[in-house]
Amino acid sequence: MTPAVIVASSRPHSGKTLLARVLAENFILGGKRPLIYDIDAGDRGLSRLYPNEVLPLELARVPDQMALFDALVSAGPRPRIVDLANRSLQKFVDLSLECDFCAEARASAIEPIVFFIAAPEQEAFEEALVLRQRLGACRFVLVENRQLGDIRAAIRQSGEYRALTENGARIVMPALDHALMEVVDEWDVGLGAFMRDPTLKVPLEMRDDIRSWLVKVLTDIYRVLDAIDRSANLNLARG
Amino acid sequence: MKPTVLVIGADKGGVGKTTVARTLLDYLRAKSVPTRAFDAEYPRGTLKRFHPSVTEIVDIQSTPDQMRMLDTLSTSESRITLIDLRAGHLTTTLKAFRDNGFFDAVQAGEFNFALFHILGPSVASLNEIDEVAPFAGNGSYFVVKNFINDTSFFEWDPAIKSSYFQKTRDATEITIPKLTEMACEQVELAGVPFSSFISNKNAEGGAGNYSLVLRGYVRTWLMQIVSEYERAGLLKRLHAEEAAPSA
Repeated sequence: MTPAVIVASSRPHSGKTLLARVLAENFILGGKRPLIYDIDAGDRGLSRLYPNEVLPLELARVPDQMALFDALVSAGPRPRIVDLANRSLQKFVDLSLECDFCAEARASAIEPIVFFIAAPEQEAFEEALVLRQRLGACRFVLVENRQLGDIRAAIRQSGEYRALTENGARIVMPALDHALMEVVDEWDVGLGAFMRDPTLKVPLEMRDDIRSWLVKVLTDIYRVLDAIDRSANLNLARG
Repeated sequence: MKPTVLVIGADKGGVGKTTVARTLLDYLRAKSVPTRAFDAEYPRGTLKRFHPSVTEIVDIQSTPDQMRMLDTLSTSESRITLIDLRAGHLTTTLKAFRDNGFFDAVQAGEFNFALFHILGPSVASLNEIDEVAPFAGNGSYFVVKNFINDTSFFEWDPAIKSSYFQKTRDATEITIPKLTEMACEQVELAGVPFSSFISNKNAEGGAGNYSLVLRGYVRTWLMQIVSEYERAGLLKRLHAEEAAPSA
């Protein structure tokens, strides 16, 4: 199974690009070169970090739509990551349904997986549930980014939150001190390179916190993708 | 069951007659209605390129070719004979059908007749309606507005517009929605029926290698057209219901 991960959120500044980076590092650490599609990012995109892997695209243009979806469903071992601007989410979903993206991807042994970052607000979980239902054929992972705040108990009790978490995968991006987050955000050395050699460029007193944050997120991502891989292979074996 | 002649025409060129003919052939095949087509873009036909197995090219003004189409109606296994006229030949063909007695045969109950009149976006189409409407009484008259190239329609003044609607009161309006230019182009290049394009098949039945996105656009577009045809009760109006297996 080759994963095609779509990183999405209904809000701006929810940590999509950071999550896309950690996903990219996860694949790079596993010895694979991801293909990264940066959708409607403007000039803040991922191209600077992964100049050879990133294709910046505008989803309003038909040639770009073709470049994205046709590449996503073409068979091959390289994992795919889509960093989707929040304003392009609906367009992406509409196009996916229009061209039956999930089924076409599976036919080429590509597994589409949506990583949806939900802000800690009731509305965000309602939107997440609607999205999961619309993209019924896609796998869905709920991402809680603690950097955006904790989820109140009342929300945790809500039907939407429970429907998402009791019957689906979930990962948590722990909060990181703002000063450290700025370092991570502005950093033009790969996070994977840092994992291999923590002495790289990062001030001594910051290394431990950044390292433990990365380990947590990478472990969660690995756990979720591994579970999906197993179940996809199981489905394949069952025919 | 009586055979049906379905004429697709316009006196103006470039309004998408052949595109509409192609959607009809796709639709009738999906409904398992045995259909044959005559492509009057003599000597080289466009419809023939997309639907070669059911299409013959004819010269609509030659009497032998008119005989080839009309004298075989009762003996052909096809329930429906679709004729895709070339630009400018609609009125003359309808006159020829009157003069050679075909419309008399329709009135006598021997055949059914239906007309798909493809309108252009300009006021010239009004005059066409004047000329064509008298013949429409012989069968079902469909007025088709083709938006495939995103034309905006009927920008003339309200008085003219309402007179147009008076004249076409008995006509059924059908709207062909817009299709993304790139999707149009890729289907043109592929030279296959829309349904084959959607299922990614080339002319030989092998894998087509067409864009997933463009196939999606064509699929949605064709589904909209099919729902237009269903809304218009097309199969019933073409007397093809018995031919199609019940859904």
